[in-house]
Amino acid sequence: MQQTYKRPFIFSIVLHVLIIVLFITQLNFTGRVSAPAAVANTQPIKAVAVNSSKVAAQVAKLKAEQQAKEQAELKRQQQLAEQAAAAKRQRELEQQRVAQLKAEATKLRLQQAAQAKAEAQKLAKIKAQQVAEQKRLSDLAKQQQAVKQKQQQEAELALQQKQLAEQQRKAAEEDNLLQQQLAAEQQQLDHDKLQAQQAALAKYGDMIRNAIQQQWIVPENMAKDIACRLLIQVGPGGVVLDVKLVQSSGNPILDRSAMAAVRKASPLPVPTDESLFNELREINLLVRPEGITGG
Amino acid sequence: MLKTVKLFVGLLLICCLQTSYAALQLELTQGIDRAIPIAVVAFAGQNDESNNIADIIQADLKYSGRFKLLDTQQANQQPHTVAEVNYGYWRNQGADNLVIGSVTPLTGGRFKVNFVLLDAINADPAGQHVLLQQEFTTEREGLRRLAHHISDLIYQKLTGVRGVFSTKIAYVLVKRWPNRAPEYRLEVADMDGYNPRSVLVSNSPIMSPAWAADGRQIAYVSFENRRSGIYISDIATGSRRLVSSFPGINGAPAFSPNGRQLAMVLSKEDKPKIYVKDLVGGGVRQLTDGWSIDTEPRWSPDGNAIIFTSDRGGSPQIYRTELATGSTTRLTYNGSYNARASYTPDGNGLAMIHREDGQYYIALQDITSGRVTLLSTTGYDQSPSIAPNGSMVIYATQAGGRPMLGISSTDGRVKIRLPARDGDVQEPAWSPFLG
Repeated sequence: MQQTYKRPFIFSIVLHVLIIVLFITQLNFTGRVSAPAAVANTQPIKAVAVNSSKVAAQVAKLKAEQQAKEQAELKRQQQLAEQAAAAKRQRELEQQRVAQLKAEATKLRLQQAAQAKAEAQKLAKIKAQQVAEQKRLSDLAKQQQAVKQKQQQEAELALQQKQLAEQQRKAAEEDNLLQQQLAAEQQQLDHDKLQAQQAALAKYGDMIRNAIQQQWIVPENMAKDIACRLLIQVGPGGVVLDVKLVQSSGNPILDRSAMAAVRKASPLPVPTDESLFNELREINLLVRPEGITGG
Repeated sequence: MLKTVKLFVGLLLICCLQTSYAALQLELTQGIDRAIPIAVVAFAGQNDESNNIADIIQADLKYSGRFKLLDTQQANQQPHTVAEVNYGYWRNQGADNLVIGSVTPLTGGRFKVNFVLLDAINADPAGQHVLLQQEFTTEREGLRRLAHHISDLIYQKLTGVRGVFSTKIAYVLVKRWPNRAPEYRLEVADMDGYNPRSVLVSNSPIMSPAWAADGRQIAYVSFENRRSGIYISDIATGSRRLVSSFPGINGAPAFSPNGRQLAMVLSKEDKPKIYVKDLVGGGVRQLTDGWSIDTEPRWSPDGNAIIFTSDRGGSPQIYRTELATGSTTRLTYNGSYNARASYTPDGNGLAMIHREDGQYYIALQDITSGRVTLLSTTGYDQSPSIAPNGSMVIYATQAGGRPMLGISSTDGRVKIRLPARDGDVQEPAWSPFLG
């Protein structure tokens, strides 16, 4: 701000000085110009024959010259006064101008101050805006947070509801499963019983087969692809009551060897349990020579 | 001999348990390899020790290896007719089968022989246990032969295979005396060594008897006049003819299955080689050549090839040459000495001499697997000859330092020695089926 004032100030000073110098110089010029004119005017007076009229004309002329002189002087004074007045005007103008400049500077200063103020105000405003924005943002965030929280709460609620539903479903399922389990267990019990019976049968089947196997003298030179079927009637205690040749192998030696093996294996190993034994009262035996075991 | 134990993989199916008395389903695929237990009860009316039919049947069945003979002499029951048989008793004795019979003298020194083969375990739907029942009439001298015949019938009925108890064996019997030159006999006897009969008696060594397929002729090598020659003798008439007398070796004759050709070993071209002589046309064709010793020719059962022993590979091994093409393949790879091979009648095996640890055994090689099974045990065994049904092998062996004949069942289960003779028994040859 100071700089801004400094420059116009210096400028104003220089201008004043210049104006004053100019003013003085003009004054000197005026004096010089008037002097030669007076000299020139005196010269024609030296003429000898004067005539009255001529005198009178001369006098009048002189008088007029005087008058003109006076008038010139007046005029010069007037001019000087005018010049002074002009200078004075100029000075006043200058002063006015300085004042104007001053005013301008002041105005500028004021303007600047105003500007600064405006700027500050603007800044403040921006700041306020920022604050407001921040506030808005924070509000927004808060709002969002709130929304989010709400959503979360809702989700949690939904989850809870779902869990509850699931629990209920599970409970129902478990209940159902329990029912099923109970049913399955019952079935398993039946199945186990059946299986146990089957296992027992399989065991006795193996034992019976082994017993016959131990008695079966496999005939030599038997074709590999022949087989016979026997129906064995088993009595209590495993006694072989009858062996029927249901289907001959086509080779009587094989048929006889198989039937002999069954009869020689009597009594067959059978269970004492009657229901189990009932399953062994009849045995279908397929005899198909494949090989020979130790014996 | 126990065969490979295979795990039983048969199905075991259980039928619906709800239905009562549904039959249990079982499958039997494995059994035991065991001789069939059989009881042969002394025939009624026989006190003759030497021609006891029951004894002969027992011995025959025992030799085969397929039967286990129960001691019936101590039995409480001695049935002779079907009506007298208590099956439960014989079952308890462990018999699967029972042989009973009777010998009834007829007028004129003849005998009526009755025999019954019974199944002690099974009865047919009519309750009958009889498997065989036959009646014969014969001279006293025919009783032994009849006994062998009955053995054949029993064997075939119970095994499905033709019996060889009526076949014969040929062999060389050498009789040595302290102050005399040894006597050589070519003999023919029943397969159990009974009823020997000389086909040829000579002061010169006799070797390598071989039967013709019809069982009526025997070819052999004789060193009469200190030269080897191959002769063929007619067993019934005793007439004989010389079929080969080339310089050098004339040896190891072998009749072709059709009887028209004779394989032999000749060394007329230096090394002993296999030749085939056409017995009808008389031509001789050389089958093998080279620097090796080729000997002991035998025919394949179909007559298309000849197997022989050769040292062409560095040690004695068995080779086979196709008669049509002459192409030769080696058959034995087990051990460093395999010789004197002959095919089993089914062509699936080779009976041969096999050396192991410096000892010589009779062995059976399975053609397919190459597996070798020893059939004899003494370590001095030679000259194997296989029975026409493939069930037994006869061979020369030693007992107590004396040469004699041994028989092994080809399943290795039974090894017997034939009754000692007055002399050294060598080079047995089993006849084909006769009659």
